[in-house]
Amino acid sequence: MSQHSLEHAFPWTEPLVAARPSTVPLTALEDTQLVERAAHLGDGRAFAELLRRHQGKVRGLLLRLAGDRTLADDLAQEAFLRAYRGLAGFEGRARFSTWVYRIAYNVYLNHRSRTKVHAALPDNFENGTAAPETSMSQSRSDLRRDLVTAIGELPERYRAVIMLYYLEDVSYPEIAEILELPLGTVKTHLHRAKRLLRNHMHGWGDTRRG
Amino acid sequence: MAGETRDVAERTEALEEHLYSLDLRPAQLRTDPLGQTWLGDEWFEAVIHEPDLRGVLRRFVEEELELYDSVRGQADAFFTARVIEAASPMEVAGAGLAPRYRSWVLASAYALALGTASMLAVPWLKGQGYTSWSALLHEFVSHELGEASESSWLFIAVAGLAIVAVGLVAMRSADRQESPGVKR
Repeated sequence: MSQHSLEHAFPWTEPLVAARPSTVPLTALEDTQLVERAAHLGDGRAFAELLRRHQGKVRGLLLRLAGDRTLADDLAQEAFLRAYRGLAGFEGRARFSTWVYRIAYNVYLNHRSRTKVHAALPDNFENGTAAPETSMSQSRSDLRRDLVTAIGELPERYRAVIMLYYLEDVSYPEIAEILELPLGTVKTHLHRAKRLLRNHMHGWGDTRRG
Repeated sequence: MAGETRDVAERTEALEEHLYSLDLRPAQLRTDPLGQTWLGDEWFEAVIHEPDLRGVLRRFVEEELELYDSVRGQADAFFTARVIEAASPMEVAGAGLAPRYRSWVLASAYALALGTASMLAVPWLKGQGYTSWSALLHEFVSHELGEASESSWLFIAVAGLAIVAVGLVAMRSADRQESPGVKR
């Protein structure tokens, strides 16, 4: 995003930011420093940097939960807007990423309760192969399709746990906090989810081979 | 022969269970796909000598790495622009308030809430036969601390509530400042 468009989007930010010039590039700042700048100095570019850093995982999480790319992006937008409005209330007890994942999960739950989406995602579950990476081999592409489809077949409680686990930067206690589950339940769900995932995948593999 | 097949199937299943229980990160899997450092000596030896188990391990590592890669999306400039545009008319709630000023705002809100609750409670208490809400408190503990005038009970109760409110606000403010995640 260009400097001009950011300034256009956040017209109120310029005087505040100018009042505290910084030579450190935004990309070098930690999340908490960016939150400080966005929330208390009104620096829109700091929020844009947070958005750039975390959107991939938030959108990925919501895509696997919702099963539809357009819907997932709408929910991700809502999650980031809620996060933006609540930046001043972010107290730094949890990491920013955990906080945003929790908002995103709550946005998804609200959406689901409004629309009564079935827990198990079904035939039209988007498996993420609509825009394959051109460099990906056929076998890897097949593996990815199978994995993502298998994730879609998981019961929702397992799907959420496994998605957060494979986001990589989320610890067990953080998963428990995001999903509001006891730590032991998270570990149990994860183990069962891994097993179910493999059962789905290897079942299909065996069918194909057979 | 059938017994041997069953034995291989059991060992394969046992290895899978073991693998599912491990907490492995992509860097570990990429640098050591054979599991020399994370599989455990017994399983590592078994995998080296048994092709079936080696196949299970290879498939597991491939799938784990693919799972890590597949769950995260890419940063999308169009999505960023869309969110920024939607956020532009919004304001961060409470942005620009100094922490001290924010504490005063919160304290005032707590005080206002307490006052309102008190005003609402008084008619109800009178309906219950008490002259004021402090009389209820008075009656509740008077046999413990002896007799005191109703006005002194009112004073004690208000002072107690004020201390609790200020304490809550102070704790909240201190927590914000001491929190390791937020530098000031």
